[in-house]
Amino acid sequence: MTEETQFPEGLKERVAAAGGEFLPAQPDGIPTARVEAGALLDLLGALKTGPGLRYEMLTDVFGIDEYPQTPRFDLVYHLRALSTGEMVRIRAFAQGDDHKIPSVVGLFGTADWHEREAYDMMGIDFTGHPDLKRILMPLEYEHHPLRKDFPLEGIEPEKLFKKRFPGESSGSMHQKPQRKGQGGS
Amino acid sequence: MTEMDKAINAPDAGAAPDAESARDTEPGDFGVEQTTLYMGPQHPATHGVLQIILTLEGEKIVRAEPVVGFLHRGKEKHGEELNYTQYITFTDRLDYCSSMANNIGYALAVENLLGIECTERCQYFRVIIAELTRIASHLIWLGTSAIDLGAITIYFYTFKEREDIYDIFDQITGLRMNNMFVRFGGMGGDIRPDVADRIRKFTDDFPKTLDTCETLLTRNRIWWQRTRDVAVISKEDAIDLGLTGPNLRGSGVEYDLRKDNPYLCYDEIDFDVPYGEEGDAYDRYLVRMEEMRQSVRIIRQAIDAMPEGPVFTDEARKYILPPKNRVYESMEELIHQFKIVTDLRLPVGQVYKATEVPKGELGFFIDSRGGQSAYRMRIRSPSFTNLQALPKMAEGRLLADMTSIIGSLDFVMGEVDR
Repeated sequence: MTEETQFPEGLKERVAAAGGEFLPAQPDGIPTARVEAGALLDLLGALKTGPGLRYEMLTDVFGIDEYPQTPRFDLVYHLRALSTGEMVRIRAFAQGDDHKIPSVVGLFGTADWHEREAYDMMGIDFTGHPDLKRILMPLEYEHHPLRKDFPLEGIEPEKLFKKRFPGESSGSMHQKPQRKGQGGS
Repeated sequence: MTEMDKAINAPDAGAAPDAESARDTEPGDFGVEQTTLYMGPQHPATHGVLQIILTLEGEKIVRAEPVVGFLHRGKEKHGEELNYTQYITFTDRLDYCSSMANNIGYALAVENLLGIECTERCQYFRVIIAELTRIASHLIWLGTSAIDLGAITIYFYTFKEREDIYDIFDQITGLRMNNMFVRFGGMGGDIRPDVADRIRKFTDDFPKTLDTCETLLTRNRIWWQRTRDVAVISKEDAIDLGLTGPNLRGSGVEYDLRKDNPYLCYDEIDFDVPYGEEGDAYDRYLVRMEEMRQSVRIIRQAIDAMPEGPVFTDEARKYILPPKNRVYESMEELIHQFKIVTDLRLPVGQVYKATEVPKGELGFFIDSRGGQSAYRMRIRSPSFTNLQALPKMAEGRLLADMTSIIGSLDFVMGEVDR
């Protein structure tokens, strides 16, 4: 199932120049390299411009939560060379307690919303992002739902409800209905 | 005397503006005062619950900021909780205009992880289904974007044809929408000969409707003025913003996953991929119209070249629920069903599979750690990325162009918000 990954010309040299190393081949055959967060911008810049195959499109940016390990958040960058359709996957860990990693918006405009989503869902701090704010959840939301320690049911939905409608006193629509005979004591 | 009266009685009030400066002013430019207009989330032209915060100078758009997330259902989070078979239904509801194309993309990712490949007949079957959904999705786009710009007739032509496609789906799968018909390593059933004939008849009839729509729009003066040189996005910007699908090809980038990263049996089928030049709304319109014609070509070839044989491999039977009546009668099938429901585990590995759905590149990244559900399920949705181009397209245009821009981007909020 796992076959030998084919490396397009120039890829190995550029990854090595940024101090990255290749990870074991995955079933999809996309070459995967891991770099330090500090060398991320250099590597993505080199992959975008060449020499060799140019990966000009950033397809996706997202995080994987390795809770409870540290460093916790593993960022994945999918790049694609439009001339051949080849892809490369770059991975880097976010650094520090506040999960910092340099933003790549300067290199690829498309990273803007993808990084906002990763911030919204996991709380990764992309330094240098022009406008890092929530995108899918409401602006006043306090949690990061895609973290592994966040339950599927959600946390404190009524708190959010109260914040949005301060006049309402009766709590939330998520509250469980009171059963008869329980309130007597 | 109030301020207003003072202004009226001022000596030069009401004097004709000097002819030279009047000519310099752009139409719609009424001074520098800025207004903020909230368009949506309940607006008929935003095609779903999209809100756009517009900063206007008179009628001119200075800045447009899309606000998304009103339809967020936590699909990626659910992918980490539900098992792989259950999750197929969640992919249906991403882009609900092309449910089965999403199913196919997800199934391909899981199959890659399992190391199984579907049979040749199944591959042709999937291509037919994917192209039928492409036509259905483009028809919705054509009808709604035309009705937004005032061309009501088109809507009825396109929705009649779309109904035909949904009838075909009904005959194949038993459901019109959200079909959930794709299984790992196969399909939920086969194409009956009478349905195959019906699809052939559709490929004969459909181009005529397309001709009618083209007669009404392609050289229509109003359509030209509403779409030509509107929502222009250059080749470089399109790549930088990560646009995919017809939006990218409309700007002249020759990139289509069906050609460049062939999956299923697309490399055995002869078809062309249309490209635009200017990158405006009109080019994207032409690209999508031609794509529908090419889809008809693909369907025609696929249905004629479809080989006989099973839709499942024996290998794939391990991952597919047995028919319900057999479960009641046979002990083995009961055990089989129990195993699938309670203990379907995927091998460890990370997989990214991208397919060309009507809106662009839909990719599924599955990080499997050997459990019953994914450790991380990432959906790379084309609409989310394509919507990022909206501020760039809207800048400096008139407010009335907004419907044209939204229409030409062709996004679905179910996929943007996930």
